[in-house]
Amino acid sequence: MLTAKTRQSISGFQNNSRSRQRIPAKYQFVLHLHKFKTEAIIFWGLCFDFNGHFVPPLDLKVYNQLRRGKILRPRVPMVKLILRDQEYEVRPGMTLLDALKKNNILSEGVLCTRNGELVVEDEILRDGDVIKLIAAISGG
Amino acid sequence: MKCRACGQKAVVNMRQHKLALCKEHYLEWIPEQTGRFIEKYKMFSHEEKVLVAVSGGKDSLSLWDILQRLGYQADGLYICLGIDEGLYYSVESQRLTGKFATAHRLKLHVVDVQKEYGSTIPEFALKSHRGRLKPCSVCGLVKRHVMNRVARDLGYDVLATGHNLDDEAAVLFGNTLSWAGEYMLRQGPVLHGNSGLARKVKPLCRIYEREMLAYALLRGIEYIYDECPFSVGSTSIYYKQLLNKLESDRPGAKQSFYLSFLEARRSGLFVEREIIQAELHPCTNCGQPTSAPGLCSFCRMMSR
Repeated sequence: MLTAKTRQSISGFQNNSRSRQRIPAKYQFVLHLHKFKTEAIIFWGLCFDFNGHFVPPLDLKVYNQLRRGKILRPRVPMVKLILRDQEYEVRPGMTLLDALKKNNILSEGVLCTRNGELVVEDEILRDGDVIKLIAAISGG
Repeated sequence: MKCRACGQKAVVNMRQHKLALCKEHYLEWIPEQTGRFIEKYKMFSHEEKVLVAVSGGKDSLSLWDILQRLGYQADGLYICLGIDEGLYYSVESQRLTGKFATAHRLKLHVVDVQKEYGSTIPEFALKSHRGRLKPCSVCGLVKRHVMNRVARDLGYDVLATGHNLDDEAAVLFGNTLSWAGEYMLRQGPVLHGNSGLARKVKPLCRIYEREMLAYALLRGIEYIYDECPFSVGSTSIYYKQLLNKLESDRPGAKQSFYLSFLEARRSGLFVEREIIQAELHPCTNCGQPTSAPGLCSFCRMMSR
């Protein structure tokens, strides 16, 4: 049966929307059921979700892994490009020039900075980079 | 990518020159190139007084910084246009210009259009029939009039503006599309003055806008990031985007377009008809040269 400490850890896990998004969809319903203290139904009974789909009972091992946050989708490495109020995401490993071309941004019209330092177009992008693009075109 | 001069990591790559430079050498290269163009086109000398039209933007403030570093006698002129539109555009640009002038101990003349002439630029646009309520036409007329008046009244030999190569190429592109021969004859790095009109020069005319942005960022110049709120959707910005697309595919195309035009004009491609050379006489109100009979365009607009 669930102890108070376990309930607290699960509720914290559920409230963290970012971690919840990385839980595979078929297990998210299980965590939802825990809010209503229906663990007995999950382990031994048949269970149907709100859409009428059958939810298979979990065994204890999978349940513990869920509780400890081990069944999660791997985080996808990303690089963020920011131009004015627009954000673009690309996979790391490509050059800055390729990332700009992929998002239809002309390299001639922008300067690229990373952590306040200018970077040239042949720079290879790394996971977690945030590249701020400064528009060069002005006038009217 | 390595700096051509020292081999350190490059921060700016200029494909049109096949040149990449580190911060230190880039901040030397830009003033060196500007000084070279000032001498090449005989814009002005160290003995002449230069009035720099500053708007608070990256180009004009960078130009003022470069002229100071090169040892020229350069004072600034800021024209407060009274443009707000919720962004406090004129207020912010004046603040940044004043801050720059104070930090570098430079002389700045400030002309407030509302105090001098009774209305802001948007108000002028509403009252006058120029430009169909978009103030750009009125803005250009007022700025040219004020710049010339201040240069003449305070005894400056030369008026310098921060037009860069992208500006020149976009204007040339627009004039070429409409084959505006009169404008093409007058476009260039130097517009010679005569009695009543100050000589107008563009020291940055061969430097790309992207390069000027890099100079301003590396030099730590605080400029107004927002554009004039009335410039949204303007034709010149559209032409710049088109030319940037061309430049991305063919590095050096913008520079080649502009320089080839200057060379072709110098070689006699355009035949200057005598009737184009309009006779100038002083305006009966302000005294500035005008080709129109009686009042100049500015005074005619003010009288309405």
